[in-house]
Amino acid sequence: MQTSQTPQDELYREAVATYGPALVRMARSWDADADARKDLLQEMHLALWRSMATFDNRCSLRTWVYRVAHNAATSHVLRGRRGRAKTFLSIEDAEAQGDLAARDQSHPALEQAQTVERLYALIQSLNPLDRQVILLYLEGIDAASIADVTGISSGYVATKIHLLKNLLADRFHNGGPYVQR
Amino acid sequence: MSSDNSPLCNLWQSQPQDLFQMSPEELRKKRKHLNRVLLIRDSTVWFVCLFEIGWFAWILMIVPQLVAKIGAILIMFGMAFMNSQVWLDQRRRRRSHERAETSGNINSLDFFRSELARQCEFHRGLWFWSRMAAFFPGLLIFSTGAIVVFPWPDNLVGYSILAVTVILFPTAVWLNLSKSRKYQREIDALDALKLPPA
Repeated sequence: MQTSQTPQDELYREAVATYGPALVRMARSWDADADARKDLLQEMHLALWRSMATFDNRCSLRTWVYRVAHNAATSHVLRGRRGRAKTFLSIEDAEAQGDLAARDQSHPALEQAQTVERLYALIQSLNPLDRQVILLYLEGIDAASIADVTGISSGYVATKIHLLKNLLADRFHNGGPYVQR
Repeated sequence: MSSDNSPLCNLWQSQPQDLFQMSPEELRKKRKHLNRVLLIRDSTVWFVCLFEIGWFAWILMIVPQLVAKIGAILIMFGMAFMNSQVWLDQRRRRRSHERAETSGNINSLDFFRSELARQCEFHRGLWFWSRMAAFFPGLLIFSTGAIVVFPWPDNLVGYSILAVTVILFPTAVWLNLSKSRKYQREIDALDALKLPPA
């Protein structure tokens, strides 16, 4: 039976068509476990669909989508944290730590895959807010929009991005051509 | 859109991945399923509460000592109070999650902060001390009453309950307050991020 599409359904489809791939990357960044990641992705989509009933264009669709997805992911990770007593790092903590991961630079494709895997591992070690900053940065969002989505003052966003660039350069520059300081 | 088209950002955005999407029908089904899960969770709290009250009501009937009876009644009230608090906390948490998760008007920092603040409040202040006050006096009176009537070495259970209560209370206070301090440090760090850097 074909159900008629409501405006909420239409908005949801539009959001997923544009930001669906970013949501998949976000879910993978938030949970290393494949089953839990699938649950998280469903939770994000459900939250997004429900949120579209109240979307009023007061902010851009992009800001709205990233906020809703991040809030759903924060709930997800804090639920897991209660059981596992996990400690999160900030970008500042991560920068102070060394990178202990081994790198295999023998093959370009393998190196790319390893770089992406190490990025995911780095993001998963960060606290929820810094995860959002690094994810938005990697998605190519500018600093002013990151401040808008996260609620962090633009000054601190600039500081965090500066630290983030140093961190990424330290960890990835020697392993390949992916980071410029 | 892009603030920095570094090779790493390009590599990140060009990852091969499976497309994930849900139809509105699937989403409606998922919402129904979640509502059912929440209903079961709420019902479990009430079931546990009724079981505990029934258990101590039975003890109330079989123990002859007045002090132990008073202790059992206090424990019943304490457990009912604790369960109602847990149920209220679950309901409040669910409502705030629903509101925040489904609203793009709440930024990431405010949502994360409200989550930490709620967890912090659970471990300190009136919310925490009322749970302690509701639970421990009954246990203390119940075990003391049992010990007075059946002194050592006839009443190992009574002594054990008293010993556990005496150890448990300060331990619970210490654990909860240290957890709340940890949350408060995280909240303070978040608050600092709202202002321009010093």
